[in-house]
Amino acid sequence: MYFAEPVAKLIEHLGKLPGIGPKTAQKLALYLLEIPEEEARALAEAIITARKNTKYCSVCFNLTDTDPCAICQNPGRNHRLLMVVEEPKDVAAMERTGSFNGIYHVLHGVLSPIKGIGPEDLKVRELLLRLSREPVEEIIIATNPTVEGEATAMYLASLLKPLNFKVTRIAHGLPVGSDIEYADELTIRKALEGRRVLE
Amino acid sequence: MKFYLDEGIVLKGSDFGEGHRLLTIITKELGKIKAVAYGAKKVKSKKRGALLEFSRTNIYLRQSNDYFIVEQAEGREYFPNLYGNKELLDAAGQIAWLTDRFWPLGQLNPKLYNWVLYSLRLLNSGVWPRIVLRNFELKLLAFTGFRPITTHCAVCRKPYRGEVWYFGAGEGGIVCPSCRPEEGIYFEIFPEVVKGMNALLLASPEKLPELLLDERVVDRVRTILEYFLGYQIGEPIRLI
Repeated sequence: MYFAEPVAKLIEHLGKLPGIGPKTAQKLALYLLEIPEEEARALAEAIITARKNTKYCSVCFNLTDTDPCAICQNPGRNHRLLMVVEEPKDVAAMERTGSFNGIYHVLHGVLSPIKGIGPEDLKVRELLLRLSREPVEEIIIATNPTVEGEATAMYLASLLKPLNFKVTRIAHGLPVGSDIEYADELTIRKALEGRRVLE
Repeated sequence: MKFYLDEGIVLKGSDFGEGHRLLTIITKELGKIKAVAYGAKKVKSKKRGALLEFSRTNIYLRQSNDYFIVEQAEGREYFPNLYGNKELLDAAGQIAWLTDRFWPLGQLNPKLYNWVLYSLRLLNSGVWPRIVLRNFELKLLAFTGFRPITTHCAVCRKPYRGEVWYFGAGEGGIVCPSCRPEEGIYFEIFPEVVKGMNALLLASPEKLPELLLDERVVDRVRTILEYFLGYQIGEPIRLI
């Protein structure tokens, strides 16, 4: 289909976004052309402002507009409890629960020999430096329960345990609201391993 | 629209769109395929666990224009011990990586499929990972048409009688001193290493756990295979 050059360019740029195919890019571009000019301008400004004002926290490497980030600066949080996560979106997921009051460290990826990602490509060195100067006692490894996530967790545990930290891993098991009938063997096995006494 | 039911082992997976996974799967009847598992990253997905890497799974597939779509998946065999030990997980990762590199898309290779399965079972049951890996690498070469020649000189076909010879990647096996060119990379190969390679090459999955090989022999086989496998795929590789 033919489009005027500016529209074609917009479609091309939207098509570069993750999860957006050519058809969706076209739909979004045509939608953006139909909305009032102020709305389109507000969207463009929001993108530019977010780009300009967002950076990585120099302590935990989460996305932030202040450095250190609000979590790292907060004296009300438990600075003896540190959770290691893969990506900034995992911090957001944890914060949504409201049940964790410690601090975070974002690795920005996981080990993947297949993709050529080694420890030097992650924020592992920064984690070790940070642990040498902060009063952390327990480190919770909250990487995803995937092959790469597990490999990263085991690698971190092998680095941190000799340094006398209490290293823990988030529990694996059945998701709330699911059926045991549909769960796979590995998940059920993990759920059994992580069972606990009812209070 | 075509539907298939096949048995497969997931070699690797990557994120695809929002909550989906793009998988590389080796199957018994369709060979190596790429398939999209929609929603497989979501917590409530019923196929998520069955499509975990290194699981043996019954997969219901639908063929779209460019790729397969996983409609349902039912796990048949899991290897839980791999997930609690970095050495085993790395070994399984190496098996998956090599299989992916040597097995072209769309081609059938039931022998290699079975050997991937045997190797994962052996790793899961606690057999020395380095023996499992060396055996797998040699079988992989054999089942993909690159079986190294270890019984006679790859150039003049003179039978090997237990002397110190050389291993040449370009020649595809051992070469006698008189056939070895002056230039190029050749590994000195001793009788016990040739014997070890042959034992590994011929070992059945049942016999492999009982195979007694000196650590230095296994190490030498690794060095040779590292170069030979890298030579075949055209880039240097590192083996565990």
